[in-house]
Amino acid sequence: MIEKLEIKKATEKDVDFIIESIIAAEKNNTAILSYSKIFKLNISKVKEILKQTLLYNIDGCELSINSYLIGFIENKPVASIGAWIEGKTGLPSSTIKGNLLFKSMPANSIKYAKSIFNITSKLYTEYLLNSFCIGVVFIKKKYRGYGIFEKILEIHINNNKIFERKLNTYVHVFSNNISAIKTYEKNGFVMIKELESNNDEIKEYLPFHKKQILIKKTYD
Amino acid sequence: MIKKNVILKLTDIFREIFNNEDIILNIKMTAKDIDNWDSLTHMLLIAKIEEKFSIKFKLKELNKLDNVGNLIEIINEKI
Repeated sequence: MIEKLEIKKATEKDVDFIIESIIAAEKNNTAILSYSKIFKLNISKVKEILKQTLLYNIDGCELSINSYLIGFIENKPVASIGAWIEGKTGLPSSTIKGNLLFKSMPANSIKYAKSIFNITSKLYTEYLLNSFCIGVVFIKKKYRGYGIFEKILEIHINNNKIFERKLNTYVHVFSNNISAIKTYEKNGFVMIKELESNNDEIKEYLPFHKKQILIKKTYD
Repeated sequence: MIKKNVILKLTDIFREIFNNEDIILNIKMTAKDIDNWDSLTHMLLIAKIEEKFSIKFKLKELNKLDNVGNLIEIINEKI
């Protein structure tokens, strides 16, 4: 399998696969899509908004085409990793993502997100400046367990000169995603923090009520 | 509106969005200085600023706002 893998930098042609990747990663093997739940949007509207944000072509977050490497097997996209150096563009990825979503999201959706904000705020996403952030990982089911994740991550790390820049790599994972956590641990990541919400209602909006930050240190 | 009023109004907005009455803005302040400033709170913050000051930001302008000082400056230009 791995010998057939071809890894390329994403282009606008890959937008639909990136959207599929973001949605799968957000759902975290559940039926809960936070974009739908938090902004009260149906799936086709979520896809439309994600497409619009990606096509703005602004670098530095998970909604940036340039953050993605795509793995192809026999010319079909089977895997993607969206990753970037946090703060490289001068702004945190959260600000860039917030700006892109703000300009693409209907006003009513923003209003709705505000009304439920007290429920979702406990699991806010913490970004570590001057680190390499893995934001989205997606491997189609059939292609899991062949080392595709490791191969794409290796190319990402080389392309971004993580060792020369002495950057640590980190990722956020919902704590119930045991297989992903095991994969990261196998690759040298360790948990540095776990965020937890005690509000039961959070399960209506996010796939799980606990989230871990795992880090792989390049230097101390 | 003079700058001082902008800062006062902006402080109220920050305190409401981040649910923190202790926030005191300064021009060098960035997202890393305030707890819970993630993509969602950022969206809520910008939406509230547009509403309260009756202004609209362009994406290009938003992507240049790297600290509170820049934010105050652009609000002053728009009101």
